[in-house]
Amino acid sequence: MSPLRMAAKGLRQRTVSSSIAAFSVALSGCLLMLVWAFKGEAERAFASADGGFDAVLGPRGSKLQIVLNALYHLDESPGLMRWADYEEIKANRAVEAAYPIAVGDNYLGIRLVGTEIEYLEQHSYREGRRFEVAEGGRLFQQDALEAVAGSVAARQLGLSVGYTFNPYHGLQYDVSARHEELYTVTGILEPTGTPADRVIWIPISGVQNMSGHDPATATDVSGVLVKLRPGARMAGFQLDMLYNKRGDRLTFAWPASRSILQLFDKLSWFDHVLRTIATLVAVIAGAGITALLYNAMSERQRDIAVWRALGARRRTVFGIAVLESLGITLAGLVGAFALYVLAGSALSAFVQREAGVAFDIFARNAAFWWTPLGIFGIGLLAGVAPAFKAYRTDVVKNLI
Amino acid sequence: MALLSVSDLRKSYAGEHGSALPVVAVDSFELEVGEQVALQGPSGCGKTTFLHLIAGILAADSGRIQIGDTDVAGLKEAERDRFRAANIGYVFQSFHLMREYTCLENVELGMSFGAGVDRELARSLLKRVGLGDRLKYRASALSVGQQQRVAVARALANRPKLVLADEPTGSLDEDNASQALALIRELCRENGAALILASHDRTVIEAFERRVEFAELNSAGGGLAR
Repeated sequence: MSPLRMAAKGLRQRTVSSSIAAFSVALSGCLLMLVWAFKGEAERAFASADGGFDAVLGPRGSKLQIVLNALYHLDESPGLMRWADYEEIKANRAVEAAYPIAVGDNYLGIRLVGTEIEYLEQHSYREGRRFEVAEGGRLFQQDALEAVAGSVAARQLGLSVGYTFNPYHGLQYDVSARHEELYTVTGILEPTGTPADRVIWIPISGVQNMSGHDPATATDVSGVLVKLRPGARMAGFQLDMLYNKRGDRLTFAWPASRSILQLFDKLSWFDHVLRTIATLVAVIAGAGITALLYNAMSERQRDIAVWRALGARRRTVFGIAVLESLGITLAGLVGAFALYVLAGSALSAFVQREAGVAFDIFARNAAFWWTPLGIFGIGLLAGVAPAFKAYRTDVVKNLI
Repeated sequence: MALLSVSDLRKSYAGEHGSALPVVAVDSFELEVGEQVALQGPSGCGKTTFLHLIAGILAADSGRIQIGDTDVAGLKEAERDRFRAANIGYVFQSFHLMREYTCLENVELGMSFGAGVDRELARSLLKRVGLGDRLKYRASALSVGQQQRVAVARALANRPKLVLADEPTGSLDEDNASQALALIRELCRENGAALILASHDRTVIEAFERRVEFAELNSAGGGLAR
């Protein structure tokens, strides 16, 4: 009977306590991978979910707020800007495309975003990828009371072609703030993995002229999504200078993803806190293994003495105890990956629903080898004290 | 030809005030290949310590324990362990089976630290002791007599040259005791193993042709018994 089999039998003798210890390892491993891998994936996913735009032009205010509002549909606009500002930047030679965005209404909490039809028709949100309407639908017509729903929004609200609804004023759903206009859904967008999935798109004139909106701002927009011409890197600097340094009315957020990355940098302390907590959980799990095996070795002094009397060397019984610890750790690691897939999928779906950003939970990340290595090390250390107890077992005393 | 030759063997334990308490002092003892001997003496006279010294479980303070070509007393602990695993079988008074292991696994355990597991040999030994239909039974599910038979099979699992049996019938009733004794002796004979059986039971002792009064052999008198 090999030491490996003897270790496995030892664990089977204590199935419940071994399983609980393995589960605690699994939880800590899962937590570590989630905290670590999701941080990296969140940065990558948010930075790459710029919808194919290089910059956002918005009213004077925080660049982060402008980007979150116009690109990620997450925050409120710091104000409004004139239609002429949109036309001006669109006419700039360095600008390949510019699309106005107008927000301010919702349907049951899902944001309505007004834009030009060209945005949905012509823009590539990713290299070679344009918006497509699912079979049976079509894009809205400019100036009509028609809407196209993003895939996540449509799933959440149960929208389909032909569905009609009244928008509500504001970005938060307030049952008393219903607009009179009745919109009809003409199409559902195919999933894009970008924040465009979680909003309802309507013609920009629809938002501008919605009943109850101030007629004085009927031509204003919330922001402009800007795509620069390829190779026009200097143009970014020039526009930054023009709007941010010389001007005082508008803000030019360029590069668009930088604001998001800066946000993650500012929140890095929180990541450290989470990672420290996860590490502590892993250490506690290791201590649990030590306590479990130490008690087990105390209970099994007679068995160990018999092994020794049958010719087992001290290092053999030491090895068996360490193998038991590693057995629990390995079972825990398998569980950690299983839990990671389950929790990661759920969290990823949640993020996609809330932010419209698609996470790849299997994206290559250092967490997937450092976490198992770290936990394996903790498991190894956790087995040392019990193993030493087994090593020191007094054969004669325990054979009586 | 002597299989075992013990000379000037000394073993003491630490006494209450740090003084040495002599337990075993055997000047000379020999056992031939395949021979069977009964060590007779009351509890605490040092029989178990003597067997532990021969098995290499305990280190001697001085003296020689020659088994074949090897002086067990001169080996380091790990070497004694290896030697024991390869050459000595041990039957304990309270059997000391692994309660959660099956009969087969218990016998395989007796092979595990030596040359390796020979499952066919383990099966045949269990058949030989009358437990061929209990191979997969857990030790805890067996009667006391059956447990002792598994212990005997385990002691012979590593094809030992020498089997040491320490009060092997002490936990058995009269019928089971005589059956177990007969089984141990037969199996040792069949396997060419010598046997030293320690007991305080006269009935057991009288079954042996060679009987040694351990108190006469051990000039230390066992220490604990004094």
